[in-house]
Amino acid sequence: MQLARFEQYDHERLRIASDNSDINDSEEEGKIIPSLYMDRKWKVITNPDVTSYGQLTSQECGFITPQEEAGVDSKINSTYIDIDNKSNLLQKEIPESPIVWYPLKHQKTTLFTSLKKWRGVVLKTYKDCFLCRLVDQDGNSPDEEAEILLTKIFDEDLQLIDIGAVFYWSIGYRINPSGTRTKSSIIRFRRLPVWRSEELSEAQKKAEKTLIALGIT
Amino acid sequence: MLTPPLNEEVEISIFGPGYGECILVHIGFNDWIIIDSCISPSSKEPCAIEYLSGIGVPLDTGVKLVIATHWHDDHIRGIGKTVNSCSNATFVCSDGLLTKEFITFIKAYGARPGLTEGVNEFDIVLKSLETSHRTPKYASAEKALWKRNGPNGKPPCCITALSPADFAIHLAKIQLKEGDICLLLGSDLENSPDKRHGWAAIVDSNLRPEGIASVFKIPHHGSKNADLPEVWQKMLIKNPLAVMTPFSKGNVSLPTLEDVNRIKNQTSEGYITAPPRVKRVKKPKIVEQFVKGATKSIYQVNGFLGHIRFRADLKSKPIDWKTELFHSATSLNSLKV
Repeated sequence: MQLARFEQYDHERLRIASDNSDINDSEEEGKIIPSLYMDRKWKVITNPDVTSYGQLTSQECGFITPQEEAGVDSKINSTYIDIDNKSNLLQKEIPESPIVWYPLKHQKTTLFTSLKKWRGVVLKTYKDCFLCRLVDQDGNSPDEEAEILLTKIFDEDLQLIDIGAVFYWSIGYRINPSGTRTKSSIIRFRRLPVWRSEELSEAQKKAEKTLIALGIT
Repeated sequence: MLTPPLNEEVEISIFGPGYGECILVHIGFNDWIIIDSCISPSSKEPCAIEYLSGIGVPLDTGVKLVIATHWHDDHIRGIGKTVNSCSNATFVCSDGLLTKEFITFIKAYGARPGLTEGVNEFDIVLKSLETSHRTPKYASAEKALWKRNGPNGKPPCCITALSPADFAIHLAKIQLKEGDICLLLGSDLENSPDKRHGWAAIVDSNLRPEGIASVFKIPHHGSKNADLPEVWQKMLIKNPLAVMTPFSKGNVSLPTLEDVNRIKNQTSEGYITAPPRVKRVKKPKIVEQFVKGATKSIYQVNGFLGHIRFRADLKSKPIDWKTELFHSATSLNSLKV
Protein backbone atom coordinates (compact mmCIF):
# COMPACT_ATOMS: atom_id res chain seq x y z
CA MET A 1 0.00 0.00 0.00
CA GLN A 2 1.22 3.47 -0.77
CA LEU A 3 0.09 6.50 1.08
CA ALA A 4 -0.53 9.97 -0.19
CA ARG A 5 -1.33 12.93 1.95
CA PHE A 6 -4.03 15.32 0.85
CA GLU A 7 -4.39 18.80 2.18
CA GLN A 8 -7.07 21.32 1.69
CA TYR A 9 -5.21 24.05 -0.15
CA ASP A 10 -7.88 26.66 0.27
CA HIS A 11 -11.65 26.79 0.26
CA GLU A 12 -11.98 25.25 -3.17
CA ARG A 13 -8.88 23.32 -3.85
CA LEU A 14 -7.09 20.27 -2.63
CA ARG A 15 -3.49 19.42 -3.16
CA ILE A 16 -1.51 16.26 -2.91
CA ALA A 17 1.46 16.36 -0.66
CA SER A 18 3.44 13.19 -0.84
CA ASP A 19 7.07 12.34 -0.86
CA ASN A 20 6.94 11.04 -4.37
CA SER A 21 4.36 13.22 -6.00
CA ASP A 22 4.30 16.64 -7.52
CA ILE A 23 1.90 19.13 -6.09
CA ASN A 24 -1.00 19.89 -8.31
CA ASP A 25 -4.23 21.56 -7.68
CA SER A 26 -7.39 22.22 -9.50
CA GLU A 27 -9.71 25.15 -9.62
CA GLU A 28 -12.64 22.80 -9.49
CA GLU A 29 -14.07 22.18 -6.13
CA GLY A 30 -13.47 18.71 -4.86
CA LYS A 31 -11.47 17.56 -7.83
CA ILE A 32 -7.81 17.19 -8.53
CA ILE A 33 -7.23 16.73 -12.23
CA PRO A 34 -4.87 15.90 -13.63
CA SER A 35 -2.00 15.22 -11.32
CA LEU A 36 1.31 13.69 -11.92
CA TYR A 37 2.06 10.74 -9.79
CA MET A 38 5.01 8.56 -10.48
CA ASP A 39 5.11 9.88 -14.04
CA ARG A 40 1.60 8.82 -14.77
CA LYS A 41 -1.59 10.75 -15.13
CA TRP A 42 -4.33 9.83 -12.77
CA LYS A 43 -7.56 11.26 -11.56
CA VAL A 44 -9.09 11.55 -8.18
CA ILE A 45 -12.71 12.26 -7.71
CA THR A 46 -13.49 13.35 -4.23
CA ASN A 47 -16.81 13.77 -2.62
CA PRO A 48 -17.31 17.38 -1.46
CA ASP A 49 -19.77 16.22 1.19
CA VAL A 50 -17.05 14.23 2.80
CA THR A 51 -14.44 16.95 2.80
CA SER A 52 -16.62 19.59 4.48
CA TYR A 53 -14.91 22.47 2.79
CA GLY A 54 -14.53 25.57 4.79
CA GLN A 55 -14.59 23.72 8.07
CA LEU A 56 -11.68 21.39 7.94
CA THR A 57 -8.22 22.71 7.50
CA SER A 58 -6.38 19.55 6.62
CA GLN A 59 -7.06 15.90 6.12
CA GLU A 60 -5.06 12.86 5.47
CA CYS A 61 -6.07 10.04 3.24
CA GLY A 62 -4.55 6.73 2.54
CA PHE A 63 -4.82 4.39 -0.34
CA ILE A 64 -5.84 1.13 1.11
CA THR A 65 -6.08 -2.28 -0.31
CA PRO A 66 -9.39 -4.11 -0.67
CA GLN A 67 -8.30 -6.36 2.16
CA GLU A 68 -7.90 -3.42 4.42
CA GLU A 69 -11.21 -1.96 3.34
CA ALA A 70 -13.10 -4.24 5.67
CA GLY A 71 -11.55 -2.53 8.60
CA VAL A 72 -12.64 0.88 7.53
CA ASP A 73 -15.57 2.40 9.31
CA SER A 74 -18.43 1.91 6.89
CA LYS A 75 -19.97 5.19 8.01
CA ILE A 76 -17.15 7.11 6.39
CA ASN A 77 -18.31 8.18 2.99
CA SER A 78 -15.18 7.70 1.02
CA THR A 79 -13.59 7.01 -2.29
CA TYR A 80 -10.83 4.54 -2.86
CA ILE A 81 -8.09 4.44 -5.44
CA ASP A 82 -5.65 1.63 -5.66
CA ILE A 83 -2.62 3.45 -6.89
CA ASP A 84 -0.61 0.24 -7.17
CA ASN A 85 -2.81 -0.67 -10.07
CA LYS A 86 -1.88 2.32 -12.19
CA SER A 87 -3.40 0.99 -15.39
CA ASN A 88 -6.69 0.81 -13.59
CA LEU A 89 -6.35 4.45 -12.63
CA LEU A 90 -5.86 5.49 -16.17
CA GLN A 91 -8.75 3.51 -17.48
CA LYS A 92 -11.41 4.34 -14.96
CA GLU A 93 -12.70 7.83 -14.59
CA ILE A 94 -14.43 7.02 -11.33
CA PRO A 95 -12.33 4.66 -9.31
CA GLU A 96 -13.95 1.77 -7.63
CA SER A 97 -12.04 1.81 -4.42
CA PRO A 98 -12.51 4.46 -1.78
CA ILE A 99 -10.06 7.06 -0.57
CA VAL A 100 -10.47 7.01 3.15
CA TRP A 101 -10.84 10.41 4.73
CA TYR A 102 -9.78 10.28 8.28
CA PRO A 103 -11.52 12.59 10.71
CA LEU A 104 -9.71 15.86 11.27
CA LYS A 105 -7.81 16.24 14.46
CA HIS A 106 -8.76 19.74 15.59
CA GLN A 107 -5.78 21.82 16.54
CA LYS A 108 -5.96 22.65 20.20
CA THR A 109 -5.30 26.25 21.12
CA THR A 110 -5.15 28.27 24.28
CA LEU A 111 -8.46 29.96 25.01
CA PHE A 112 -9.10 33.01 27.15
CA THR A 113 -12.35 33.70 28.91
CA SER A 114 -12.47 37.32 29.94
CA LEU A 115 -14.14 38.44 33.16
CA LYS A 116 -13.15 42.06 32.72
CA LYS A 117 -11.68 43.93 29.80
CA TRP A 118 -10.55 47.54 29.79
CA ARG A 119 -9.22 49.84 27.14
CA GLY A 120 -6.59 52.00 28.76
CA VAL A 121 -4.93 55.27 27.82
CA VAL A 122 -1.67 56.36 29.45
CA LEU A 123 -2.03 59.77 31.10
CA LYS A 124 1.29 60.13 32.89
CA THR A 125 4.44 58.11 33.36
CA TYR A 126 6.48 57.63 36.51
CA LYS A 127 9.62 55.70 37.38
CA ASP A 128 7.90 52.56 38.56
CA CYS A 129 4.38 52.91 37.20
CA PHE A 130 2.12 54.84 34.85
CA LEU A 131 -1.17 56.60 35.41
CA CYS A 132 -3.92 55.58 33.03
CA ARG A 133 -7.61 55.91 32.40
CA LEU A 134 -9.46 52.62 32.12
CA VAL A 135 -12.65 52.41 30.10
CA ASP A 136 -14.71 49.30 30.61
CA GLN A 137 -15.08 47.47 27.30
CA ASP A 138 -18.30 45.81 28.37
CA GLY A 139 -19.68 49.29 28.89
CA ASN A 140 -21.20 48.57 32.27
CA SER A 141 -18.77 50.07 34.74
CA PRO A 142 -17.77 53.70 35.19
CA ASP A 143 -14.34 54.86 34.03
CA GLU A 144 -11.49 54.32 36.44
CA GLU A 145 -8.00 55.65 36.83
CA ALA A 146 -5.16 53.50 37.98
CA GLU A 147 -1.43 53.58 38.54
CA ILE A 148 -0.19 50.35 36.96
CA LEU A 149 3.17 48.93 37.99
CA LEU A 150 5.76 48.58 35.23
CA THR A 151 6.69 45.15 36.58
CA LYS A 152 3.34 43.90 35.28
CA ILE A 153 4.11 44.92 31.69
CA PHE A 154 5.75 42.63 29.14
CA ASP A 155 9.33 43.63 28.40
CA GLU A 156 8.60 44.15 24.72
CA ASP A 157 5.79 46.57 25.61
CA LEU A 158 7.78 48.75 28.00
CA GLN A 159 9.13 50.94 25.21
CA LEU A 160 5.57 51.64 24.04
CA ILE A 161 4.54 53.28 27.31
CA ASP A 162 4.10 56.97 26.67
CA ILE A 163 1.42 59.58 27.19
CA GLY A 164 -1.50 58.78 24.93
CA ALA A 165 -0.48 55.15 24.36
CA VAL A 166 -3.40 52.76 24.24
CA PHE A 167 -3.44 49.31 25.80
CA TYR A 168 -5.88 46.54 26.58
CA TRP A 169 -6.13 44.84 29.95
CA SER A 170 -7.96 41.56 30.22
CA ILE A 171 -8.50 39.60 33.40
CA GLY A 172 -10.04 36.16 33.27
CA TYR A 173 -9.27 32.49 32.77
CA ARG A 174 -6.76 30.98 30.39
CA ILE A 175 -7.67 27.47 29.24
CA ASN A 176 -4.55 25.62 28.09
CA PRO A 177 -4.57 22.96 25.33
CA SER A 178 -4.51 20.35 28.05
CA GLY A 179 -7.77 21.77 29.40
CA THR A 180 -6.25 23.27 32.53
CA ARG A 181 -7.91 26.51 33.64
CA THR A 182 -5.74 29.17 35.22
CA LYS A 183 -6.45 32.71 36.37
CA SER A 184 -4.75 35.22 34.14
CA SER A 185 -4.19 38.95 33.63
CA ILE A 186 -2.87 40.24 30.32
CA ILE A 187 -1.86 43.82 29.53
CA ARG A 188 -0.90 44.42 25.91
CA PHE A 189 -0.05 47.74 24.30
CA ARG A 190 -1.35 48.61 20.89
CA ARG A 191 1.13 48.76 18.06
CA LEU A 192 0.56 51.11 15.18
CA PRO A 193 1.90 50.87 11.66
CA VAL A 194 4.21 53.68 10.63
CA TRP A 195 2.72 56.53 8.64
CA ARG A 196 3.18 56.21 4.91
CA SER A 197 3.65 59.32 2.80
CA GLU A 198 0.62 58.26 0.72
CA GLU A 199 -1.56 58.31 3.83
CA LEU A 200 -0.40 61.81 4.74
CA SER A 201 -0.92 63.09 1.20
CA GLU A 202 -4.38 61.60 1.19
CA ALA A 203 -5.13 63.28 4.53
CA GLN A 204 -3.98 66.63 3.14
CA LYS A 205 -6.24 66.24 0.12
CA LYS A 206 -9.18 65.36 2.34
CA ALA A 207 -8.47 68.36 4.59
CA GLU A 208 -8.42 70.73 1.60
CA LYS A 209 -11.71 69.26 0.40
CA THR A 210 -13.24 69.63 3.86
CA LEU A 211 -12.13 73.24 4.21
CA ILE A 212 -13.74 74.08 0.87
CA ALA A 213 -16.92 72.22 1.81
CA LEU A 214 -17.10 74.09 5.12
CA GLY A 215 -16.59 77.40 3.42
CA ILE A 216 -13.29 78.04 5.19
CA THR A 217 -10.61 79.66 3.09
CA MET B 1 -37.93 65.63 35.46
CA LEU B 2 -39.11 65.09 31.92
CA THR B 3 -41.30 68.16 31.71
CA PRO B 4 -40.23 70.69 29.13
CA PRO B 5 -39.90 74.32 30.19
CA LEU B 6 -42.68 76.69 29.30
CA ASN B 7 -42.24 78.92 26.28
CA GLU B 8 -41.53 81.95 28.44
CA GLU B 9 -39.30 80.11 30.83
CA VAL B 10 -35.52 80.10 30.83
CA GLU B 11 -33.71 76.94 31.83
CA ILE B 12 -30.10 76.12 32.59
CA SER B 13 -29.35 72.44 32.94
CA ILE B 14 -25.89 71.31 33.97
CA PHE B 15 -25.00 67.64 33.49
CA GLY B 16 -21.96 66.03 35.05
CA PRO B 17 -21.26 62.30 35.22
CA GLY B 18 -18.27 62.84 37.53
CA TYR B 19 -15.92 63.27 34.61
CA GLY B 20 -17.13 65.64 31.94
CA GLU B 21 -19.73 68.32 31.68
CA CYS B 22 -22.46 69.65 29.45
CA ILE B 23 -24.60 72.77 29.78
CA LEU B 24 -27.98 73.19 28.18
CA VAL B 25 -29.69 76.55 28.05
CA HIS B 26 -33.26 77.22 27.03
CA ILE B 27 -33.49 80.89 26.15
CA GLY B 28 -37.23 80.77 25.81
CA PHE B 29 -39.56 79.97 22.92
CA ASN B 30 -38.00 76.58 22.25
CA ASP B 31 -34.58 77.95 21.38
CA TRP B 32 -31.82 75.84 22.92
CA ILE B 33 -28.07 76.18 23.20
CA ILE B 34 -25.74 73.27 23.96
CA ILE B 35 -22.34 74.01 25.46
CA ASP B 36 -19.90 71.09 25.48
CA SER B 37 -20.85 67.47 25.74
CA CYS B 38 -20.58 64.51 28.06
CA ILE B 39 -21.91 60.97 28.00
CA SER B 40 -24.48 59.44 30.27
CA PRO B 41 -22.74 56.53 32.05
CA SER B 42 -25.83 54.35 31.85
CA SER B 43 -27.11 54.91 28.31
CA LYS B 44 -23.80 55.99 26.71
CA GLU B 45 -25.77 58.67 24.89
CA PRO B 46 -24.80 62.36 24.87
CA CYS B 47 -26.54 63.88 27.91
CA ALA B 48 -27.96 66.82 25.98
CA ILE B 49 -29.48 64.63 23.28
CA GLU B 50 -30.92 62.20 25.79
CA TYR B 51 -32.49 64.96 27.87
CA LEU B 52 -33.88 67.00 24.96
CA SER B 53 -35.32 63.92 23.31
CA GLY B 54 -36.83 62.94 26.65
CA ILE B 55 -38.70 66.22 27.01
CA GLY B 56 -39.79 66.23 23.40
CA VAL B 57 -37.61 69.00 21.96
CA PRO B 58 -37.12 68.61 18.19
CA LEU B 59 -33.35 68.53 17.80
CA ASP B 60 -33.30 69.73 14.23
CA THR B 61 -35.25 72.93 14.83
CA GLY B 62 -34.94 73.48 18.57
CA VAL B 63 -31.16 73.59 18.98
CA LYS B 64 -29.64 76.78 17.58
CA LEU B 65 -26.06 76.48 18.71
CA VAL B 66 -23.64 73.73 19.70
CA ILE B 67 -20.53 75.17 21.32
CA ALA B 68 -17.30 73.27 21.93
CA THR B 69 -15.51 75.53 24.40
CA HIS B 70 -12.26 73.62 24.12
CA TRP B 71 -11.14 70.20 22.97
CA HIS B 72 -10.53 68.47 26.27
CA ASP B 73 -11.70 64.94 26.75
CA ASP B 74 -14.06 65.88 29.58
CA HIS B 75 -15.86 68.44 27.41
CA ILE B 76 -16.28 66.75 24.05
CA ARG B 77 -17.48 63.21 24.64
CA GLY B 78 -20.48 62.66 22.39
CA ILE B 79 -20.22 66.04 20.68
CA GLY B 80 -19.98 64.36 17.28
CA LYS B 81 -23.36 62.73 17.73
CA THR B 82 -24.72 65.96 19.20
CA VAL B 83 -23.70 68.03 16.16
CA ASN B 84 -25.02 65.33 13.87
CA SER B 85 -28.39 65.12 15.63
CA CYS B 86 -28.88 68.88 15.84
CA SER B 87 -28.76 69.13 12.10
CA ASN B 88 -29.50 72.84 11.80
CA ALA B 89 -27.48 74.11 14.73
CA THR B 90 -24.46 76.32 14.18
CA PHE B 91 -21.28 74.73 15.49
CA VAL B 92 -18.88 77.01 17.34
CA CYS B 93 -15.30 76.24 18.28
CA SER B 94 -11.90 77.84 18.59
CA ASP B 95 -10.32 78.95 15.32
CA GLY B 96 -7.28 76.80 16.04
CA LEU B 97 -9.40 73.72 15.43
CA LEU B 98 -10.30 74.78 11.92
CA THR B 99 -6.84 75.28 10.46
CA LYS B 100 -5.64 73.15 7.57
CA GLU B 101 -2.93 71.65 9.71
CA PHE B 102 -5.35 70.47 12.37
CA ILE B 103 -7.92 69.14 9.91
CA THR B 104 -5.16 67.21 8.10
CA PHE B 105 -4.25 65.69 11.45
CA ILE B 106 -7.89 64.72 12.02
CA LYS B 107 -8.23 63.24 8.54
CA ALA B 108 -5.03 61.22 8.92
CA TYR B 109 -6.04 59.77 12.26
CA GLY B 110 -9.68 59.53 11.21
CA ALA B 111 -8.63 57.03 8.54
CA ARG B 112 -7.49 54.78 11.36
CA PRO B 113 -10.73 54.50 13.31
CA GLY B 114 -10.75 53.66 16.97
CA LEU B 115 -7.50 55.42 17.70
CA THR B 116 -8.33 58.39 19.85
CA GLU B 117 -11.67 59.38 21.24
CA GLY B 118 -11.14 63.11 20.73
CA VAL B 119 -9.98 62.68 17.15
CA ASN B 120 -12.92 60.46 16.31
CA GLU B 121 -15.35 62.96 17.82
CA PHE B 122 -13.94 65.80 15.75
CA ASP B 123 -13.93 63.64 12.64
CA ILE B 124 -17.65 63.00 13.15
CA VAL B 125 -18.25 66.72 13.66
CA LEU B 126 -16.45 67.59 10.41
CA LYS B 127 -18.26 64.90 8.42
CA SER B 128 -21.59 65.99 9.85
CA LEU B 129 -20.97 69.66 8.98
CA GLU B 130 -19.88 68.70 5.47
CA THR B 131 -22.92 66.52 4.88
CA SER B 132 -25.36 69.14 6.10
CA HIS B 133 -23.51 72.02 4.37
CA ARG B 134 -23.01 73.96 7.58
CA THR B 135 -20.21 76.45 8.07
CA PRO B 136 -18.73 76.43 11.59
CA LYS B 137 -18.19 79.61 13.50
CA TYR B 138 -15.04 80.74 15.24
CA ALA B 139 -15.21 82.17 18.71
CA SER B 140 -13.15 85.09 19.86
CA ALA B 141 -13.25 87.60 22.68
CA GLU B 142 -16.43 89.68 22.85
CA LYS B 143 -17.76 88.05 19.70
CA ALA B 144 -21.52 87.59 19.43
CA LEU B 145 -22.07 83.95 18.58
CA TRP B 146 -25.82 84.04 18.15
CA LYS B 147 -28.50 86.69 18.28
CA ARG B 148 -32.25 86.72 18.49
CA ASN B 149 -33.51 90.14 17.60
CA GLY B 150 -36.91 89.66 19.15
CA PRO B 151 -39.49 89.34 16.38
CA ASN B 152 -42.91 87.83 17.09
CA GLY B 153 -42.83 88.90 20.71
CA LYS B 154 -39.74 86.85 21.54
CA PRO B 155 -37.35 88.66 23.86
CA PRO B 156 -34.06 89.59 22.23
CA CYS B 157 -31.11 87.50 23.20
CA CYS B 158 -27.41 87.53 22.54
CA ILE B 159 -24.85 84.87 23.25
CA THR B 160 -21.35 86.22 23.48
CA ALA B 161 -17.99 84.54 23.77
CA LEU B 162 -15.87 86.41 26.29
CA SER B 163 -12.46 84.90 26.29
CA PRO B 164 -9.68 85.33 23.73
CA ALA B 165 -9.69 82.58 21.17
CA ASP B 166 -5.98 81.98 21.08
CA PHE B 167 -6.57 78.43 22.20
CA ALA B 168 -10.14 77.90 23.21
CA ILE B 169 -13.41 79.61 23.93
CA HIS B 170 -13.40 78.87 27.62
CA LEU B 171 -16.41 80.91 28.38
CA ALA B 172 -19.76 81.83 26.97
CA LYS B 173 -22.10 84.44 28.26
CA ILE B 174 -25.76 84.53 27.53
CA GLN B 175 -27.71 87.68 27.99
CA LEU B 176 -31.43 87.98 27.78
CA LYS B 177 -32.17 91.65 27.49
CA GLU B 178 -35.85 91.51 28.16
CA GLY B 179 -36.39 90.26 31.66
CA ASP B 180 -32.83 91.19 32.37
CA ILE B 181 -31.53 87.66 32.84
CA CYS B 182 -27.80 87.22 32.49
CA LEU B 183 -25.85 84.03 32.78
CA LEU B 184 -22.12 83.72 33.13
CA LEU B 185 -20.90 80.34 32.02
CA GLY B 186 -17.25 79.74 32.67
CA SER B 187 -15.90 76.64 31.03
CA ASP B 188 -12.31 75.87 32.06
CA LEU B 189 -10.97 79.40 31.85
CA GLU B 190 -8.26 80.00 34.43
CA ASN B 191 -6.38 83.03 35.70
CA SER B 192 -3.16 84.14 34.10
CA PRO B 193 -0.20 86.07 35.52
CA ASP B 194 -0.52 88.20 32.40
CA LYS B 195 -3.57 90.43 32.86
CA ARG B 196 -4.20 90.42 29.13
CA HIS B 197 -5.28 86.82 29.42
CA GLY B 198 -7.63 84.77 31.53
CA TRP B 199 -10.36 86.11 33.79
CA ALA B 200 -8.59 89.40 34.46
CA ALA B 201 -8.80 90.32 30.77
CA ILE B 202 -12.55 89.71 30.80
CA VAL B 203 -13.20 91.68 33.96
CA ASP B 204 -11.17 94.61 32.63
CA SER B 205 -12.69 94.55 29.16
CA ASN B 206 -14.78 97.52 28.11
CA LEU B 207 -16.30 95.58 25.28
CA ARG B 208 -17.94 92.77 27.17
CA PRO B 209 -21.76 92.88 27.28
CA GLU B 210 -23.29 94.82 30.11
CA GLY B 211 -25.28 93.04 32.74
CA ILE B 212 -24.82 91.31 36.04
CA ALA B 213 -25.31 87.57 35.96
CA SER B 214 -27.55 85.73 38.40
CA VAL B 215 -26.33 82.27 37.41
CA PHE B 216 -22.67 81.35 37.36
CA LYS B 217 -21.18 78.16 36.00
CA ILE B 218 -18.04 78.06 38.11
CA PRO B 219 -15.01 77.53 35.85
CA HIS B 220 -12.53 74.70 35.96
CA HIS B 221 -14.29 72.60 38.57
CA GLY B 222 -13.92 75.19 41.28
CA SER B 223 -10.13 75.25 41.25
CA LYS B 224 -8.37 78.14 42.96
CA ASN B 225 -6.46 79.14 39.82
CA ALA B 226 -9.74 79.79 38.00
CA ASP B 227 -11.28 81.88 40.77
CA LEU B 228 -10.93 85.65 40.57
CA PRO B 229 -12.67 87.65 43.34
CA GLU B 230 -13.35 90.51 40.88
CA VAL B 231 -15.58 88.20 38.86
CA TRP B 232 -17.82 87.73 41.90
CA GLN B 233 -17.71 91.43 42.63
CA LYS B 234 -18.17 92.92 39.17
CA MET B 235 -19.92 90.36 37.02
CA LEU B 236 -22.31 88.58 39.38
CA ILE B 237 -25.18 89.52 41.65
CA LYS B 238 -24.73 88.99 45.36
CA ASN B 239 -25.30 85.39 46.36
CA PRO B 240 -25.74 84.07 42.81
CA LEU B 241 -26.74 80.58 41.85
CA ALA B 242 -23.37 78.91 41.33
CA VAL B 243 -22.86 75.47 39.89
CA MET B 244 -19.90 73.30 39.03
CA THR B 245 -18.86 69.82 37.99
CA PRO B 246 -16.18 67.66 39.64
CA PHE B 247 -12.95 66.46 38.05
CA SER B 248 -10.50 63.67 38.80
CA LYS B 249 -7.20 62.89 37.17
CA GLY B 250 -4.35 61.16 38.87
CA ASN B 251 -3.84 62.68 42.28
CA VAL B 252 -5.84 65.77 41.27
CA SER B 253 -9.40 65.81 42.48
CA LEU B 254 -11.49 68.96 42.18
CA PRO B 255 -12.99 70.74 43.95
CA THR B 256 -10.91 70.39 47.11
CA LEU B 257 -12.33 71.10 50.54
CA GLU B 258 -10.58 74.47 50.38
CA ASP B 259 -12.25 75.21 47.02
CA VAL B 260 -15.67 74.29 48.37
CA ASN B 261 -15.23 76.49 51.43
CA ARG B 262 -13.96 79.40 49.34
CA ILE B 263 -16.99 79.20 47.04
CA LYS B 264 -19.33 78.83 49.97
CA ASN B 265 -17.99 82.13 51.26
CA GLN B 266 -19.10 83.76 48.01
CA THR B 267 -22.57 82.21 47.82
CA SER B 268 -24.91 80.09 49.84
CA GLU B 269 -26.47 78.83 46.61
CA GLY B 270 -23.62 76.62 45.41
CA TYR B 271 -24.25 73.25 43.75
CA ILE B 272 -22.22 70.43 42.26
CA THR B 273 -23.34 67.66 39.89
CA ALA B 274 -21.58 64.93 41.89
CA PRO B 275 -19.26 64.58 44.86
CA PRO B 276 -15.60 64.98 43.78
CA ARG B 277 -14.62 61.38 44.37
CA VAL B 278 -17.05 58.53 44.58
CA LYS B 279 -16.60 55.09 46.05
CA ARG B 280 -15.32 52.55 43.56
CA VAL B 281 -17.69 49.83 42.39
CA LYS B 282 -16.12 46.46 43.29
CA LYS B 283 -15.55 43.84 40.61
CA PRO B 284 -15.54 40.02 40.89
CA LYS B 285 -13.02 38.70 43.45
CA ILE B 286 -10.59 37.37 40.85
CA VAL B 287 -10.56 40.70 39.02
CA GLU B 288 -9.98 42.58 42.26
CA GLN B 289 -7.06 40.29 43.17
CA PHE B 290 -5.27 41.01 39.91
CA VAL B 291 -6.09 44.71 40.07
CA LYS B 292 -4.65 44.91 43.57
CA GLY B 293 -1.48 43.11 42.47
CA ALA B 294 -0.92 45.24 39.38
CA THR B 295 -1.73 48.72 40.62
CA LYS B 296 -0.44 51.21 43.14
CA SER B 297 -3.82 52.90 43.25
CA ILE B 298 -7.16 52.76 41.48
CA TYR B 299 -10.26 54.87 41.80
CA GLN B 300 -13.47 55.58 39.99
CA VAL B 301 -13.66 58.79 38.02
CA ASN B 302 -17.31 58.84 37.21
CA GLY B 303 -20.37 57.13 38.44
CA PHE B 304 -23.85 58.41 38.23
CA LEU B 305 -24.98 61.31 36.16
CA GLY B 306 -25.80 64.38 38.17
CA HIS B 307 -28.15 66.98 36.79
CA ILE B 308 -28.84 70.44 38.19
CA ARG B 309 -31.69 72.42 36.70
CA PHE B 310 -32.54 76.07 37.21
CA ARG B 311 -35.75 77.46 35.75
CA ALA B 312 -37.24 80.94 35.89
CA ASP B 313 -40.06 82.83 34.26
CA LEU B 314 -38.67 85.33 31.78
CA LYS B 315 -41.15 87.92 33.03
CA SER B 316 -40.59 87.46 36.74
CA LYS B 317 -39.16 90.49 38.54
CA PRO B 318 -37.16 89.97 40.57
CA ILE B 319 -36.05 86.74 38.94
CA ASP B 320 -37.42 83.80 40.81
CA TRP B 321 -35.22 80.80 40.16
CA LYS B 322 -36.46 77.33 40.90
CA THR B 323 -33.64 74.87 41.62
CA GLU B 324 -33.95 71.12 41.07
CA LEU B 325 -31.30 68.49 41.77
CA PHE B 326 -31.35 65.08 40.14
CA HIS B 327 -29.41 61.88 40.81
CA SER B 328 -25.98 62.55 42.36
CA ALA B 329 -26.27 66.35 42.27
CA THR B 330 -25.99 68.05 45.63
CA SER B 331 -25.62 71.47 47.22
CA LEU B 332 -22.19 72.54 48.44
CA ASN B 333 -23.63 73.05 51.90
CA SER B 334 -24.36 69.35 52.26
CA LEU B 335 -21.23 68.14 50.48
CA LYS B 336 -18.74 66.04 52.40
CA VAL B 337 -15.33 66.29 50.77
